[in-house]
Amino acid sequence: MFRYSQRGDPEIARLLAGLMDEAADYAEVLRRLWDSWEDDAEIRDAATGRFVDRDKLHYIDFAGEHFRVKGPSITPRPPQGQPVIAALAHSAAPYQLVARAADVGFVTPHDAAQAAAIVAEIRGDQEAAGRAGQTLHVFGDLVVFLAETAAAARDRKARLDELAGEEYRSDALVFTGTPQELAGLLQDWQAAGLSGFRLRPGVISADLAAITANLVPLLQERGAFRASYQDGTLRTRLGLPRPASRYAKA
Amino acid sequence: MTKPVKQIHLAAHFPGVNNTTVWSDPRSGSHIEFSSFEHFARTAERAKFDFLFLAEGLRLREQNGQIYDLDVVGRPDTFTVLAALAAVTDRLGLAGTISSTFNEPYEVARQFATLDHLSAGRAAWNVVTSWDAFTGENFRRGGYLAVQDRYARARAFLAATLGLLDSWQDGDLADGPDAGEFLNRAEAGRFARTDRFFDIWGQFNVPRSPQGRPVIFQAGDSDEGREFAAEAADAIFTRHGTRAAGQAFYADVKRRLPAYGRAPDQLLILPAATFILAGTDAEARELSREVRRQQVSGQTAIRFAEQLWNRDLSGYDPDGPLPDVDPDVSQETIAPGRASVRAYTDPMATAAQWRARAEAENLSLRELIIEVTSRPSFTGSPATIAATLNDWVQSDVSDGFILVPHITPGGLDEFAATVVPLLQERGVFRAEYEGSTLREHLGLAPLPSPDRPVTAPR
Repeated sequence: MFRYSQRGDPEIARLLAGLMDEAADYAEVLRRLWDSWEDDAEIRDAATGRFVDRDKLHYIDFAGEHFRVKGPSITPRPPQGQPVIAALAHSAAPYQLVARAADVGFVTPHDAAQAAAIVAEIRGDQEAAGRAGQTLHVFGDLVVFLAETAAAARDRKARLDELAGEEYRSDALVFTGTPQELAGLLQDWQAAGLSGFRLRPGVISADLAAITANLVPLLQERGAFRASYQDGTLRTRLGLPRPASRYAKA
Repeated sequence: MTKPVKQIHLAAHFPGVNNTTVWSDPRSGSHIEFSSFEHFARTAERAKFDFLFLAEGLRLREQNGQIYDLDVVGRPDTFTVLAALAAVTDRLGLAGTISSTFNEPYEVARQFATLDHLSAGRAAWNVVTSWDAFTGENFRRGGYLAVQDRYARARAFLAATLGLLDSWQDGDLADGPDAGEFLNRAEAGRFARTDRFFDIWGQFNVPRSPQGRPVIFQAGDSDEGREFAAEAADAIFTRHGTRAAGQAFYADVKRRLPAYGRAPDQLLILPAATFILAGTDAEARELSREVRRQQVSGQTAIRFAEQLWNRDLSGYDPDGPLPDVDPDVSQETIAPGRASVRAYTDPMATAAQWRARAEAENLSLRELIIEVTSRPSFTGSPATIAATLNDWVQSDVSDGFILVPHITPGGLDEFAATVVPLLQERGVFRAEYEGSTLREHLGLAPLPSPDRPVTAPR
């Protein structure tokens, strides 16, 4: 059983690095499978009787340390080409996984300086992985308890802690405060290098409503968040290009 | 004493990746986009069908070392499609084919429990086995399972999965925030199982679903498959060619039930069947000939013959006589992973039969293949099809049918509009859904909540 307190142990570090290597292989296999059908592989050519152009279906022939996968995918290439891959990371080895394999990394800084340091580390890893210049988002995770005043938010959380019989803990920063304070924090952390946030409502029924009703309009007023969706896929929204199939002949 | 009139059960099989599906028809739509699945499901639900059925394949088909390109190729993921369909239907059962070979019980139990929750009690699992190394090349464990072990693993897999689903009782979740605790029973979900195939323990994380477990289907005609169905399935998905063969199968399977302490109505026999519907019987027969020629093109006929001859026959004329060479029985099949190929146990004898028949009936290769690959099919006017379906069910050929249209997604529309009302008029098919769960549609008794965990904590 792995305990977080053991993360500095060299044996644990070796195991963790191995798991991350396997996860990177896994993501690589997913991306190859998504590429294994070229976009126009389905031809429905009644004249020749062929439903697909099999020259546009490809074996991925992945062989790694942990598994082998032949391909092609059972499912044709989806609208985004490759769906977005995201991973949560708290330390060096997972940061490297994000840098190698993900489109979005979720991280858990507790202040703006930590946010800047984590982003710098991931950018360095990204360059080392040969992905410099590719869009890779780093999102900050936050648990939020919102109220009209900072004191009311603190009191609300304190009451929940009392009911639970222990203080609520999280890997992410547990924020208590007003929507205005949270908007300011998000903008500070954005300035430190994060490109987005994954907010975890402390109490779904209360805090999700407070996020959408109170936080979002503030960010919109400040020009920091979209007022409506543009057409397009999630990739479009995230500014990620639609990848061409690696198997397509240019 | 007169035999009571049986109610017919009807299900809709989304057109599959084989030559039954005529993708070249101008009306043929996408096999991937959700709108096709939605159209198909809405038609089935409008007609008060028992359930919609999705087949599965875990590797694209190949022949002669190449991807097979003459049929529909590619399909979306079963659970994702069924979950989306749960949101656009209210009563229709949702049956998915999931392999017991390349999956794990914990994952499959979660997926079906989730589907049963999302659909408010409409999930069904068609338990299949896949054993060949060809399919295994897409999976971490590879071709690990010996042919003779596929049902042993399926049995163990099903038992493990049902054990997980029974690890929660009704009432394990507390009522609302005032209860103070989330669970009424801290050990809810605890499970442990050790057998030849599995060594798993932990706490299952999906509370008991409306049906308790998905309705269990078994597909497969072997003696072992029939025994597995008699022991563990709620319904059996089968194929049989004729009325007499169907009756024999029906009697055989139902006869096996008492040994497992089960009554005949606890296992439904539901064969797959295609249909060709037209205004008159004569028109339907003519249409059927046309559709069969679309389903078996000259190229398709050659490919089918190659599966028996086990050699490249691309030099032969499909409109000419059968190949003058003998099947090559010296090498592995050129069409790996195809269940139909496994059925050719004596290729020399089958080829001899085919030659004799072609000669006697003056059939070309293509015409012969059209004949020998024909599947159970109902052909006629709405009145004829309604009468035949009813006759077959009342005569214990089956308890109903899983209908496989040849056009996606509209191939069921006419059946729903013309045949179903006639069955309803006869009083042999529901005019409205009476229950809300699939078990209720199928006339299966509700499952009691387990009164204690079936597996002890480790």
